[in-house]
Amino acid sequence: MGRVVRPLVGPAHGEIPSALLRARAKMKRFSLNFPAHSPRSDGGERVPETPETETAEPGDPASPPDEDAPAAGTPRDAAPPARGRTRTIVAAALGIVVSTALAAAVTTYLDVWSSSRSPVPAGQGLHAESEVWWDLTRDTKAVRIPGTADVAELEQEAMDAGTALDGLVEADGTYAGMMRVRVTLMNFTKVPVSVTGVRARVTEEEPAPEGDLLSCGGAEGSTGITRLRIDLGASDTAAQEYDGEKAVGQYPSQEMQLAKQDEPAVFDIRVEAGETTASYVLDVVYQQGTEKGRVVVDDGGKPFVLAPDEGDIDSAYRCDDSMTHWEKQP
Amino acid sequence: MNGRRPFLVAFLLTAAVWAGVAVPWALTDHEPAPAKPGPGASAGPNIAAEGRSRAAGRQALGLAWSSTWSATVPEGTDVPDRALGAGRCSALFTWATGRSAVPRGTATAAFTLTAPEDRGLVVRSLRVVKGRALPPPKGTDVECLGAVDPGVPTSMERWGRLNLDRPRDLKVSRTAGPGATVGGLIETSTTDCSCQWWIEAEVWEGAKRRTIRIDDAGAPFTLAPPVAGIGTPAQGGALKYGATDVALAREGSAAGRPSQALSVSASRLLAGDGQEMWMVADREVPEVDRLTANLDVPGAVCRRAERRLVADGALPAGRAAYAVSVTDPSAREDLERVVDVSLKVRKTVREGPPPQGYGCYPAQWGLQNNDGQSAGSVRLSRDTPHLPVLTGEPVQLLRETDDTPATSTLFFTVEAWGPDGTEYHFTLDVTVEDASGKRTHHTVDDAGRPFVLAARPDGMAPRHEKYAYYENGHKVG
Repeated sequence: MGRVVRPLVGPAHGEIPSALLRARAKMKRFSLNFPAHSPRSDGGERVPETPETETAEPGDPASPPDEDAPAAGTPRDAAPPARGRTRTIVAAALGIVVSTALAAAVTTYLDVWSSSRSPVPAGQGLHAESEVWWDLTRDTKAVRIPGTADVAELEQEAMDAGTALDGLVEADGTYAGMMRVRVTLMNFTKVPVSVTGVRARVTEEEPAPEGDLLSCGGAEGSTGITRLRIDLGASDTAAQEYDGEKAVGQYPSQEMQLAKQDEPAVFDIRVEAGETTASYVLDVVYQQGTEKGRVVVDDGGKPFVLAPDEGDIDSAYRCDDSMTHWEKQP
Repeated sequence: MNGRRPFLVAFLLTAAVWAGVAVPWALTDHEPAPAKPGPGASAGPNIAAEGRSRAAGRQALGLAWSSTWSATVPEGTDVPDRALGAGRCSALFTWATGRSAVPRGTATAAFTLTAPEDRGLVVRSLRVVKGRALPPPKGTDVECLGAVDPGVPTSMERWGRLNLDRPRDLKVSRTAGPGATVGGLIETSTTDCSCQWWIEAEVWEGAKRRTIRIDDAGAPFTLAPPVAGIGTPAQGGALKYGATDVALAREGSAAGRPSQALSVSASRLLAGDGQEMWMVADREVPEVDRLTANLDVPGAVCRRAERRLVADGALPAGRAAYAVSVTDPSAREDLERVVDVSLKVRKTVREGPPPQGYGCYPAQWGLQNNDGQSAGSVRLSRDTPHLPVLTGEPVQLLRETDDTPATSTLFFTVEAWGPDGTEYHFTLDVTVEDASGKRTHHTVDDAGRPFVLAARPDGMAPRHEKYAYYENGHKVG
């Protein structure tokens, strides 16, 4: 078939330039007189036939549409719609590209702008750490284990009784009686954080296991100097503040804990066991500017666990003053 | 049909798609974040959508007493006097970071991740990501020896050391329960990158995997290649024994290689956990009052109160222990030395109202702790141009590793008893003789200022002070 020439920019509707008319006429004759290529029947190489020499025929009028239409199809009728379709596709593609580029530029600008130095909003940027410890001069550190304790083996393996107790907890034991939890609150922001309440939240309870109890420390006794206390057996597990042995109220009553960017808040809470083995976390409620917040304090990703040091105990053992030997209690 | 209509339709439709679909999708973080933050991903000051983990980060001074913090403050700023000298690291750090100082060689970041209220969080890995390149910083170099950040709890975990030039994933397994936090310190170093950087943490929130970006309150951290140290090799030699930190500054760029000559430095030892603390201040320090409101936190009260008083310019009173470090970078053999130490003392009387006295007894205090290692002691009473403390004291220089210079440290105690308001200002004259008889003479002060010890009336102890505190309880280990 002959090559159909499509002008890129069409004339106004109804106006067809004379040069285009002449080109159309020539192409019509070209397509009608030039046979389709086909291989020779004898299989030899096909030699293209010499195209007919064009003859200039100025002033040829526009051929009527039905005369121009070649028998094999309607490329001429399809030319204007096909041109318009391409134009539409190109314009739409351009629109998508420009819109995307503009969106990327705006977002990047906003990303840079919003990433410029701005303080962390209040209510965020508080980090809590905890540490469980005992003051063996005044606290009794105890562990409750299911079953019977092999104290001879403990004395052989462990360097001291405190280490032995920790090893029992890592196995299947539970700290019992009491523990001290040191809470450290670190503030990442420039807005000071004041603690407005601390409460133990029991997440799981179960009866204390039958078995043995091993304990150390507490020679000097006295809880009188412990300022913050939580009783897991009480109906209200909020931290209470004491002045000596006198309860002054729910914490904080007399003192305020403040966590500042250059100085964390540090406080110790003495936690007393209830009547069951309780898994618990500490909810620390705070105020930061006008915002209130809460951070949960747990034991390195898991709840604290504390069992009672009374009840169904088969045998009780206490370490001696050197903390290297265990003596069975009557 | 002209092309304008399809162009406009396509443009507006695409814009609507980006606004309504792509941004929420980007915030959902299906895939790990790319090396550069994509549009909408983790932009802004660490705010996450409701029900997601939250992250916060900030620059920190350093990991431990052995850390050195080094930075360049932009040109045109003079370091104020209050931010230089012994015990002034925190002030220098606050001043410099407020002026966009760029850390040099090593930067430490503290961070925390808070788990959502309804599910736990597991941190699986951490990496540092290099961002946009920055022009090499120019200005005043500052340095802190004994870079312990007072805002970071000593219990906060040091997660490790990473390198911007050789990125790697730090594999961890850290857990936070619902609503709880997990955090730590990361030290990042470089030898040739002057650039922005941030941390990316791979976490699991319940069953959902996410990548969380941690930066400096919404802006990337910065870091530039290291510069030569400012202090002498001996400076900081007594940090391991509990000496005060040291804040230093240098105008212009460092030139040449570090000195290989023998150097001597001295610093006062803090009372710390074992010694009673005794100081006098020009004024009442309200911050100390707040820190000592609850004394039932053994091991955490006196130490913090002392640090606050030192930063405020308070003076030790009555008795103090000092460490003298002798360092010889070039010494490989013949490490024996003989040291003489004497004080050049000037006595003054404070004018104006009497100072405010602060005393604190830590939980495990024992008077012998610092005195036990003293090689000598002196008592100050008047102007003295030459007061011998140690004479002919033999020392053995020790090289802890092949990279560190041979060092030895001596201790001595100074006492000052007299009327309230009396102060003694002194410098050290130190002579070091090597095995061949060669002697070098050094005049040593307290990081640019004379040492100052305030006098106390005879018979007084820290408990007699106006503000006296006793830590309650015993926390061992």
